[in-house]
Amino acid sequence: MTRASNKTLFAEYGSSVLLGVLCLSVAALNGAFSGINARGFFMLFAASVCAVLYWRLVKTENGFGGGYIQSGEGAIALLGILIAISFLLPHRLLAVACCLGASLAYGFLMRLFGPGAWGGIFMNLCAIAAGWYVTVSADVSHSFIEGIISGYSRNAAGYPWEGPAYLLLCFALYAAALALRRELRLFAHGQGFFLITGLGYGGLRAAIIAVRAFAVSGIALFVGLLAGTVVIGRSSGIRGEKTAAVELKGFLWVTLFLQAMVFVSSVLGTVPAVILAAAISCAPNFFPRRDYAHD
Amino acid sequence: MIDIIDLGLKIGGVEILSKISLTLHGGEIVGLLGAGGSGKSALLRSIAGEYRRFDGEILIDARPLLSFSRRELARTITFHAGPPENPEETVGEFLKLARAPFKKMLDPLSDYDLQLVDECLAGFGLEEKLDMPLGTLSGAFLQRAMLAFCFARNTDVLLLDEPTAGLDIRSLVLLQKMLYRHVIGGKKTAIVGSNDLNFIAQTADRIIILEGGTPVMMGGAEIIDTDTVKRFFGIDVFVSKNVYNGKPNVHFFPEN
Repeated sequence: MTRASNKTLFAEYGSSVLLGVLCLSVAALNGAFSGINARGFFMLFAASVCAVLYWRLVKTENGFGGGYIQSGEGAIALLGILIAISFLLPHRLLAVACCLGASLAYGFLMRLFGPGAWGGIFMNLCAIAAGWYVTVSADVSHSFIEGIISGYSRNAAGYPWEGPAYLLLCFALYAAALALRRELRLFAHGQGFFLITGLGYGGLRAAIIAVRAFAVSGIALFVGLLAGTVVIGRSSGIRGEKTAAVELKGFLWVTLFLQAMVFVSSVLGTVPAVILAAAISCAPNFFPRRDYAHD
Repeated sequence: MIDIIDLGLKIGGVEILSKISLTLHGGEIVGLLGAGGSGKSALLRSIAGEYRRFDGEILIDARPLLSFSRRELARTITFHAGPPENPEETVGEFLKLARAPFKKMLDPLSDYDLQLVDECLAGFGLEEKLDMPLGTLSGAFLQRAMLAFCFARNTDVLLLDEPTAGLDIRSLVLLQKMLYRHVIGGKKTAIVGSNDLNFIAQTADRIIILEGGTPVMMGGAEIIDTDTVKRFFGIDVFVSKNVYNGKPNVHFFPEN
């Protein structure tokens, strides 16, 4: 068993430098033309951190693969915001709490019912109920829905401290997940393996569900449907690989994607950008590189 | 050294183990035999600390088992758990996880850890599978990886429950060699529960036969004979002697 040499590390991280430059270029374009403020940039980066945090946690639980913004836990989070804001108009922080609450409830209920038929039925009932509410409610305007699906990062309103605070919190949780990576990998192999760490199984399981809900809520709040399926779903090849270089590359890809979609939405409008985001991010699912059902 | 004093275990009101008193020494490979339901797995799980409520006492180096913290237990006892559930983990990365009980959070693996992992990879002939995901391994190789994980933990007490399940003949020989190497220093103990009479007869220094949750016979390989097999397993067999080491070889006949 050998350690990676410096030469190998340089080769692995080389492409990330190029991606980083591209990210900064698109971010500069957004700064100049999209009217996105500093708080929005912080939120966009926070969404990218949430995405890599989410991928890390998705690997730990068998049977609870990654969902998407359009369906599954992402949709629940988004609908949580939608319903909450409709009722609690216009208190933003309450909406944030409702989004997180909806994700948390969904996470725990899915584990309660199981990932099979009951979980699916529950998820679809929630989606139908929320869809019905949004359709029939006279209070919900098209511009309001558009504001939600493009995410808070595009919204000019809000406290200046929100962006940095969210980003810091996301980084802190990601750092914790990194620090616990050995324990999380043992967790993924089952309770018998995890117990050799000397930590409590139930406590970590609840923490994983909670942080996963936080990550999903963050993505839904900050970028909405502009995330396409890339952010919490995943693009081919990311889930099965574990090196830091691959994770950094994944982070930069998502950042680039989100920045690009924000730019497209400022040029073409939100709805075309959402359609484009979904189309581009779904494309990798049709490549024949998938090894597992949820790849 | 493991001292089991008057151990009794009930699960759901049903008596699983009763009146077990044993002393298991360092440097010893102990084989547990018995028909299905005789209490082999329950005894192994009791020693592994999986049951917190039992009668009697289990002492590890004169210290009560129940006084061990989870981490201390993990550093002292290895129990062969079920198969790993993450099919994407590579064999090499999986084996490195075996050193987790000896590492604090963020502690990197030391050269000693990596050497130990390398030895177990080589010991079970897994070098060529190093970068292969667990999900792509055959049943025999997956079992070998699982066993290598157990040995890589390198704890004083090694408990293996049905380790020969799914192993081909080469894997059996590798397991036997690794067991000898594990106990050779005289400090470590290996306890193997198995239905494989021949493997236990060839490998174990001492054999304990359980019936109804109680040890009913104990001794060296010589206790495996036609009468013993007839008495505890209810079949007629022919027992020959291995020409290499003189230990018993059990042959059974489908029509018997």
